Amino acid sequence: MFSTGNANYLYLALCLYSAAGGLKLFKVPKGGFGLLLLGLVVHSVYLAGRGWLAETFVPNPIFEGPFFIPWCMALTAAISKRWRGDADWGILILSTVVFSLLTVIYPQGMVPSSPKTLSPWVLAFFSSEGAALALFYSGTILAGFDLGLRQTNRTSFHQYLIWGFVLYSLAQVVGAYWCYLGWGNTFRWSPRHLNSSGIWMLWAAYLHLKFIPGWHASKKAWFVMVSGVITLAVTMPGYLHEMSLNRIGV
Amino acid sequence: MRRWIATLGSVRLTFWLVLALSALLFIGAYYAGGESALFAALNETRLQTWLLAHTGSHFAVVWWIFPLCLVAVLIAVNALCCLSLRVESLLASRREFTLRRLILLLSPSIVHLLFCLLLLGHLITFSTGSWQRVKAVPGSILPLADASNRFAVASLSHRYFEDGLIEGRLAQTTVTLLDTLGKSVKVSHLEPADVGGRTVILTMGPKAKSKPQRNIDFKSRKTCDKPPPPPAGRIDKPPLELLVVSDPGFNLIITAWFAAVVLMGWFFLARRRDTPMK
Repeated sequence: MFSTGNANYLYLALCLYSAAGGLKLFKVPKGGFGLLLLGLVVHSVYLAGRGWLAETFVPNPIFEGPFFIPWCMALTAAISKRWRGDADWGILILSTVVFSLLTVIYPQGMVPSSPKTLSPWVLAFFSSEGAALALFYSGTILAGFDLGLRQTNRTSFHQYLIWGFVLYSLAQVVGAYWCYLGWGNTFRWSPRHLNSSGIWMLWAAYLHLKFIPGWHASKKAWFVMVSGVITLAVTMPGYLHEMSLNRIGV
Repeated sequence: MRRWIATLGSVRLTFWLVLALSALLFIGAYYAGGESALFAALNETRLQTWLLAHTGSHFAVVWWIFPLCLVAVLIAVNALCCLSLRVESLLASRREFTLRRLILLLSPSIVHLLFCLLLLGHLITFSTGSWQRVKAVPGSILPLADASNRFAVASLSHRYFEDGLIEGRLAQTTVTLLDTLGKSVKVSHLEPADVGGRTVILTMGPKAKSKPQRNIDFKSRKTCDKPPPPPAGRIDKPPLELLVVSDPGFNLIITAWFAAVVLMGWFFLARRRDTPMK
């Protein structure tokens, strides 16, 4: 694949996202949206190339969090603009660029797969988890902007968190099935599983705020921001740890 | 009685209980990270057995499991109380809704019921599951309940990647089991087999202490009385083991969880269609 192991495609995508954000900021939304879509295509090409890092097709690296989550955030921004008609997509591009910065220093190769990671269940787990985290982070950033800049009574972030929760729930059940196939448990008493369940509970708590009097929009936004920071703090160490693993295809 | 149910089923209580459970899970992750061997044993031991064995000696790292279980029970009670009130109220005014609308309004309650079933499934697994290991070497006999028909490991075969940068790396291992009647069953990584009512899963044994990788020149050694060496460059793995699992809660957990996810997705999509976008 022509983009295999070529990080320039990723860097080009980041430049396009940044330019898209700039055009949106300077009130050229159509041009900005066009660059966002182009950035998504280039980023997709980069991700596809990651499937051939081993010089034979192994799809696992395509869904590696630090590279896949920004793609999901960019896709969220595009969907936000195209189908929801939200004015928030500019903020979502900004969050995409911020979350993409890690990829600049992240090792480009792949951690060699083991027999326990070569399964469609694994791909389903990492893709749904990555997409869910992207939606949680997008919602968190929107909540922050709603609080910090707009001072309005909006909860524009709510829909992102709902779908993040649905996808995260899907990741939980798919992950549970994968875990059983490989290790004989649907739930393991390990930091990974305990943290994952904790994140799910945190966002489940958020979903119930709608039904509790006294939780107005800004209070909910604060809760979302704290939950987003906790989610990031709990998941990021795993990605940082994987930076030290032996990789091939670099 | 109705006041008690309303109090126990309040959404405000739900929020604080779920938040408490979240906090306890994060706390547990912290302790589990510090005592990985201790908590690894819990994955293949019944919860009550493990707690009896370790609470006295390791209370400082296991204490959080007790409030975790208590809060989980309270959440189940809270959910059941809340949904019973809601379902009663919806059914009492069902003539005001179309069937589709009624199902839409009932679906969150069904999701909560499925979540309760999920908790029940976990309780069943943690308290009645069993996990036994045998080495995956020829001759090993599986510890199954039916002693009249024994399954033993007959052979192992490995498949390696044949090209690319992962050439020589292990792609799959298959263990062939034979019973006393000569019937064979194959077990591979992520492809367990149902044997004698148990699930047999191929997994790794405990990780050996790290040793330097040696580049052995097999061609210069006499090997007529030794098993064939792995091709050059292949990396040996921890010893393989077969995990014989009895998990009565598994089907309930997966079915309830999956149904809840599907219903949730449908509910949020259908609600969007019913509610015009602002």
